[in-house]
Amino acid sequence: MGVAIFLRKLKFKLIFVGVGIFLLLVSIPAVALAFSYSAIRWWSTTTYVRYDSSVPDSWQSSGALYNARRAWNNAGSKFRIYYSSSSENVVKAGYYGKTDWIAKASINYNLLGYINQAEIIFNRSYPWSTTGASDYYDVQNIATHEFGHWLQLNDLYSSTDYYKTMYGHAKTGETYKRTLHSDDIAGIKYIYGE
Amino acid sequence: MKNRIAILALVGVVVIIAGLLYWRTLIKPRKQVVNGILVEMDIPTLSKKADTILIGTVKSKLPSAKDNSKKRLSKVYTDVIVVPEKYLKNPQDSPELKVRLAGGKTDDAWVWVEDEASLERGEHVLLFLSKDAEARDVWTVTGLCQGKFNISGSKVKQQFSDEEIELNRLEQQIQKVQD
Ligand SMILES: [Zn+2]
Repeated sequence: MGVAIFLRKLKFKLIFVGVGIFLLLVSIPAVALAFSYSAIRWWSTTTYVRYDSSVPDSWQSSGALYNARRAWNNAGSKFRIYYSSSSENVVKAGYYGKTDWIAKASINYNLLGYINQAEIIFNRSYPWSTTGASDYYDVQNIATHEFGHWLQLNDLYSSTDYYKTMYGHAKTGETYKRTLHSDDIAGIKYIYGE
Repeated sequence: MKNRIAILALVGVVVIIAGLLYWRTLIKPRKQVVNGILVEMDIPTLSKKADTILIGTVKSKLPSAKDNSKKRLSKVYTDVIVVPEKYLKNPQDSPELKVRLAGGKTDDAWVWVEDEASLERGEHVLLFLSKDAEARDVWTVTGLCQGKFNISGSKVKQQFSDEEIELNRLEQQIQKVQD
C-alpha cells in the first residue's frame, strides 16, 4: 500500500521534473543581441590547451598565444583557458594552401551541446607575424578571435560589427581583434556567467 | 510482491533510459562545428580571384561524403549542382556545375561549417567560383560565404550581409575589373 502511494508520488515527481527540464530547454534564448552564440558550450568553465610542435616557437615566446588566452581570461567571466601539456585540446599550424581561410577552430561536441574537444589550426600558407607587421597576419589578433570560437561565440559579418574581435574577416597588419570589444565581453559573460 | 516487481521494473526502465542517453550523448555522435576566419575580399578582389562568375539556380544537393583533404575547412563535404543561366566571367561549356561545400551530414559525422556558403535547392544566386584545389571538374565558392549572393528581383544580398544592392551595379563592378 505504502509503496503504491510512493510510486504514484514518484510518477508525479517525474512528470514535474520532465516538464521543468522541457521548459528550461525551450527558454534558452536562441538569439542574442550584439554577439552571436552557438548554444554549444564547455561543461566546466575551466578548460585546457596545449600547443602542437607544428606551432612556431616564436608564437609562444613572443606571448602572442598567451595574450590571446589572457584577453578572454580577463574579460570578467568565470571562463578560463589554461595551458596544459597533457590537454586533448590543441593549437596546430600547417600548410593548407591559399584556400581563403587563414585559421579555423574545430569544436567537437555531444548531443547535449557540451564540447568534448577543441582544436585551432593556423594556415601557414599565409604569411604570419607576431608584431603586427603590415603584410602579415598577426598571430595574437587571429588567436584572440579563434579562442572566441573556442568558447563558442560565432562570427559576425555586419559592417556595424567591424571592430569586434568576433568579426569574421581579417586583413594583414590588423591588430584590433587583440582587444575585446564590449560586445565580445558581453558574449562570454552571457555564456559562462560573471 | 506486486509492488516489488513494479519497483524493479521502474528501476530497470530508468537504467535503460540512462544508458541510452549516455550512449547517445557521449559515445555515438561525432558532431562538430567549424568556424574559420576568412581573408577579407571585396568585389574587385573576388572578381579577380574567381575562375568563373555566374548567375544560376541550385538544382540539387547530393548526399554528403568524406575526404581527407586538409585544404577544406572540414573532412565532410556536400556537393550541389548549379545550373548556370548567365556567365559574367569565363563561361563554361558544361550545362551544370558541381560546387563542393565544406560540411554536411554522413552516417557517423555531422559537421557544420559556419563560414561556408550555403546553397539550397531552388535558390537563385550569383556565384564567384574557383576551381577546386584537388578534384577535377569541381568548383568551390571563392572566399567561401563572401562569394555567394542571393538574387531576389533586381536586388542581391551577400550571405550574412544585411545590405541589399542592385544586381545591375554588382554586374558593372564585376565587369569593370575585367576591362
Ligand atoms: Zn571566425
